[in-house]
Amino acid sequence: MKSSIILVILSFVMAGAAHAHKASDSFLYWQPAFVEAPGRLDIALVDLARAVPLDGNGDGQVLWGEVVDRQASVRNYLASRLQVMSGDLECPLDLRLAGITRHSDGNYLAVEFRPDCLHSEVAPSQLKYNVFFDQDPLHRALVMTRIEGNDRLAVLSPDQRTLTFAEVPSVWQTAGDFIWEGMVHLWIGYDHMLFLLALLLPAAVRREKGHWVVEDRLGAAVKDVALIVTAFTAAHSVTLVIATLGVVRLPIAWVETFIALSIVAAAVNIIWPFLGHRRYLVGFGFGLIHGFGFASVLGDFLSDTSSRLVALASFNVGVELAQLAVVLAVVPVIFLLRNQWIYQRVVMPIGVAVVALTGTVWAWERVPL
Amino acid sequence: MIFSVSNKGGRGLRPGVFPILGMLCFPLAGWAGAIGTEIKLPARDAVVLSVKETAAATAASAVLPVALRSPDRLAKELRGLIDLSRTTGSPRPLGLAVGLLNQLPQDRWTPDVYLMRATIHQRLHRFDQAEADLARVLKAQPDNRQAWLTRYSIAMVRNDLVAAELACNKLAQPRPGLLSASCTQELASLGAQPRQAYDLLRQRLDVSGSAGAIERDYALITLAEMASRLGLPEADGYWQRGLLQAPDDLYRRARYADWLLAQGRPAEVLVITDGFNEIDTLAVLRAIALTRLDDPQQPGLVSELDERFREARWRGENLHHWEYARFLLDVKGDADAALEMALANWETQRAHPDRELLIRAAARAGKSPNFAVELRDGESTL
Repeated sequence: MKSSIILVILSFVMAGAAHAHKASDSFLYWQPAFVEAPGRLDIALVDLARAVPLDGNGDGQVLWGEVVDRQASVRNYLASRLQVMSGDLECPLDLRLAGITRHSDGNYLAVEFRPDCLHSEVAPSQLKYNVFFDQDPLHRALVMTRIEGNDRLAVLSPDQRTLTFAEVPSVWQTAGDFIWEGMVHLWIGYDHMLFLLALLLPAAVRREKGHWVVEDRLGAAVKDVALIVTAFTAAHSVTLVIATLGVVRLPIAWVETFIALSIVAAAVNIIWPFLGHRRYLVGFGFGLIHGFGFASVLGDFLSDTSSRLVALASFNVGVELAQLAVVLAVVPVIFLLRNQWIYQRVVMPIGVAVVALTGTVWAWERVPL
Repeated sequence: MIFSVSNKGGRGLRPGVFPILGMLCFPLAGWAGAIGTEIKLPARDAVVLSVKETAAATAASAVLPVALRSPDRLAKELRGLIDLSRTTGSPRPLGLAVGLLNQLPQDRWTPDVYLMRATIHQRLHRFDQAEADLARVLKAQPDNRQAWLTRYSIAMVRNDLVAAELACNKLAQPRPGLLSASCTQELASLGAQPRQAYDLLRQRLDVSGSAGAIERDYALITLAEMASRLGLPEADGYWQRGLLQAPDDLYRRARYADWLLAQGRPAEVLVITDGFNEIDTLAVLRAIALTRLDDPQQPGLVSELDERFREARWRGENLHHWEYARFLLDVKGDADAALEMALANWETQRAHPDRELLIRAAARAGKSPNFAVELRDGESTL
């Protein structure tokens, strides 16, 4: 009953409009796109004093010197509660006590933070804030971000602890996007298609000792094609991966020139098999160069994504799927037409000539000399 | 730096201005300047947290370990934090109280703990959540007078007279006392014969010398409110006595200051609000008085309040609509914006001061007194 009496006053008083001071807020300013500009977190000293004892000499008040002496503890406290993410990767934060600033309810400690996201070559995409929420669930972080010159205000709370700057697509979305990019690139990047075509054409009718030889067995033709495509795929996958991961980098202009020359070589090889009859070896050898070509395209897209490995794998899958589609479209046609006179005498020679000429023109255009 | 113009005096940023400034400067600068309030590097021996603030911080953190020993202990500590919030006018202790609550598993909560949470919700104007907690308390303890009184207070703030009457009837059991007389007459004063209700409570207070001090105080403040609504000069005496009895009580101080303003006595408002600038309500009422007196202190307090409301708008959820509307209406003279805030306030609070504010703001904005409420609620009268 005694407690009820005490509270009689409370609830009566509270019915009215007497509010005051303000609840616990911190202020966070950041320009995520500017690597040179540190982010800044202002935390109320009165809140900080609750989490990290600041009154070192126990005289009942806090001097600036005491805060400075405790900076390791302060940094420690904040380091586990403030995270900058680049996709799934956490960027290590460099925290520095910048000084004191004032907000409407008193003194705040201004802490500068510099995220080091360089390892992923991708801009920060998220900020995770967890300061003071355990001791005070009414605490809020008032965030101002400046992105492309526009200031955006936001509030972080225990129900909303993450601020997303750039939309980070899900893994499935990334995979889907990059499979599609890989397919599109093979189809509209005619050089890879022409090279593949030049390798596939002899599967049904090939040149041996100055004569056209028709392949009668479908099984043999399919095996031949499968071997070539697999070799080409294996080779360009290897170089795509090592180039994308930055293990080896080649000057792109020379790569492009060499790809054009590979088309000429593959075409000439149909009439004069100077590279030998084991075309899968040709596919493998030149496939290595084509991989660098794919990598240069993929690199342009990768700057927008954080899931690099998923993107890389998906892009490759896309290339293979597009390749498979080409094979499925071309092989039945050439196999059905293989016995036709017009195919042997007109389509093949003219096709070879057109492919070789195109490759030559491209090589001429691309050579950086 | 380019943005230092707006940062003058370390007053933060105007959200309205900055996007424009930012867009203007971006192409010129290539890299935009620092954002945020001005940072200073103090001397090592500069005091950055006063004795009072340091004491508040350490006292609250000392509460944490002992509070969790038992639900009873927790309820006691919560009561202490709520009381601290009430006397200092700071919502921070309420945040700490919620933090404490979260640490005790809910299956160990007693009705007392739920009652404390209801009180916290009430103070934060989360009336639905407060009601839910009160319902739980009253289910376990149907005679809990404190819970009924809290329910009565919330019902009055929300202008839910049916619920208020029900709660008031419960307070009259097992036998009517001065407390139930206060709520009964307060409800009656909203009916056809307010003067009669006022007289009845006044007489009742005169003869109830045996009642407890707290119940007498409650009756006194109820009378002060009723006299104010009736426009009686006796209100002055009631408010003064009330303030003398509980000088720490920020609510009655604010109500008295508001009454004095309505009486055209701003000089006296300066006296009773002196030293209370940290409290939004009292600071706003003081700013109104300073404006009316054309006092040289006015610009300083107004710019302080500007900054406070700017931060509160940024935060959003805890913006004090009543105070901000008063500030806009009676200091800034922006009737349209004030009406918008008064309407937002009316969404959650419908007591007498809220109604009065809405009517005044609507009139100043050139709207009919009933427009606002008709618009939002389809009600025909205020």
